Amino acid sequence: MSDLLERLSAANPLPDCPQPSIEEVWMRLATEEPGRSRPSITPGRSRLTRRGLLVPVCAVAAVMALAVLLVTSGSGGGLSVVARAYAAASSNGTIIHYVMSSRQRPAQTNHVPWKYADTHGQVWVSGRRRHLIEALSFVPGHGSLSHEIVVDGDHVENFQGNTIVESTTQSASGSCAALVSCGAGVPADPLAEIRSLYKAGQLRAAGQTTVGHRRVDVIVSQDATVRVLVDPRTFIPIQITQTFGSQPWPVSPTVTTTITHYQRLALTPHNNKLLNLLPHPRARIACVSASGVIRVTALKHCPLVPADRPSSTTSYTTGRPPSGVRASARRYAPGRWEISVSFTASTAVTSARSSYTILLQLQDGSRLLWTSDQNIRRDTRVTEVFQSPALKFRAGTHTGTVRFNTTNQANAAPHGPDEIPLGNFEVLNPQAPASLGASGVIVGRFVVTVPSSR
Amino acid sequence: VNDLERRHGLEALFAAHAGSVRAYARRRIDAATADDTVSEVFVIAWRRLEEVPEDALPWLLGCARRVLANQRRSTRRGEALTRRLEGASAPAGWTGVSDGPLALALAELGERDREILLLICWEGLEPAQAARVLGCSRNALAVRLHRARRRLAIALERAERGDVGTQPMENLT
Repeated sequence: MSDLLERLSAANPLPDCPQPSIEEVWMRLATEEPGRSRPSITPGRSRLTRRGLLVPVCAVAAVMALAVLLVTSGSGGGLSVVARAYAAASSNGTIIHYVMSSRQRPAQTNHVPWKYADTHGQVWVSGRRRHLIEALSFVPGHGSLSHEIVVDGDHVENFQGNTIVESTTQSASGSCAALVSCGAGVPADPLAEIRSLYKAGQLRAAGQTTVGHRRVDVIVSQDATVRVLVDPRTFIPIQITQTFGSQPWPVSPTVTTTITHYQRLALTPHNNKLLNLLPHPRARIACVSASGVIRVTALKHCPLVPADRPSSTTSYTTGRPPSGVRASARRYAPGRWEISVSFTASTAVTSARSSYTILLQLQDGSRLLWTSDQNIRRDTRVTEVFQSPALKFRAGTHTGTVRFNTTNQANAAPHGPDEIPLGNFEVLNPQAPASLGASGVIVGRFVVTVPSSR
Repeated sequence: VNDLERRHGLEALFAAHAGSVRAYARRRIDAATADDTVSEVFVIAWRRLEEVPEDALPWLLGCARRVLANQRRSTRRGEALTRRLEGASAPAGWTGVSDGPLALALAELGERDREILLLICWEGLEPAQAARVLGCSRNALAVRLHRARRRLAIALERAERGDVGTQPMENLT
């Protein structure tokens, strides 16, 4: 090589380049339409054109393509449902945000059996980091709890009962039971389950079924312990049923998780905060070491600092303050209360992509969040009732907010093909740029007083 | 070939060559577009997995070259308009090259000459591989390489004398 080329080689501005992730490729394949025609940009085209071979080659190719089409018609072609579901469940380089509800039957906590346990919550997940806000209720029951967890590999931050327990693993559950209930442990990640089964070659397509008058694709694991329903167009998981046969229980517990909203968010510094705990300025911090030793400290002395959350963005919401938010508490059983919140809806809710949510901040630091009906006409009086069979409100004054949540696309009415109605819920297009979690605006505040039980 | 085998095939291809494809794109464009280019190239590879030759790198770089060309075509007109509106001139010199005269000389070369030289010197390809990337014969590449090297030498000599670097790059390519 001449000196000139050696000098050019030495000027290489990027001798080494980090290996990119293949997840982006799977993602693109999953989100592109299988039949979409694309320009041919593979090498060699120019030579064919230049030598006048293009026409005969195209003719031969067309005949061959027709033959292949005839042979493979009915087999689907392109990526399999399983591969597309895997790509849709992949969260590397992005944030998946989903709203879910799940039911486990039978269930247990602290060795007390329940017929079933319901969980409602939201999850933000990116790679190995996951942020969950969940409310669990044991039915029929005498127990209910809400918690917020951030899981990052083996590192767990669990906010519950005004205490943040920071631990390396859940193996120290025997010790942390003094502070929080460890019965729930770290909730399983259904998307991770899909990914790991796919990588192990353990998933297969199992035809279609009907849910809520719509056809959905079915994927099952080889041992039939996991069953996933995916939307046939977006391949987003809409229901995951897991059977844990190895549990020492008379009947193997089964958890059915239904995903009602699913969206992808860009992994920006702003959105990255969604993967952190909400701010809990008055929370105690309990650092649990691997040996089970608990060290409770004030917030300022603990290295764990709850991060800021993105503030609400109001630029694309149409929520206006509802008139006269009223709230009341009614005792319907000894020690049990029913909270009613009513307001006049200034904005219609006609889609699962918008809703009113009511957040009640209790005195002990815990919070209750529930969502309005999905079919509200404008200027009608809405009454939302939260009745927890086991939640014992303390006597005193609690504050709350009514919040209108929507997305920018939701306002770009009419709701078009980016929504896939499925039964009584809708699945969002993963390409939708809207951020459901950050698009709300507080439209009303209220105070509810729980009188003394005496 | 079933889907699982195809998937493993693509994963193997990706593991072997994705870094090189990204480096190729990154030397020519910003990081975000380079990542897009990599995924676009491997999406094409997935669709045409049966066509990918055993020596896959030239084939992949050829795809990347055309993907980048498509992207450049779509953005060049807008960028030129923006530049005119802002009254700014195009950046002088080849981006990322710290050797000043060499950067100016590279910028003065035509796209085809520059591509041949960079495929040999930066991507480390043999002439036969570079020919496959560019879709020409080995003999044609040898001739082009000879001419490109000569033009680079002239441009470098001018750059070291301070005669180049004032003309917008797109007028020279």
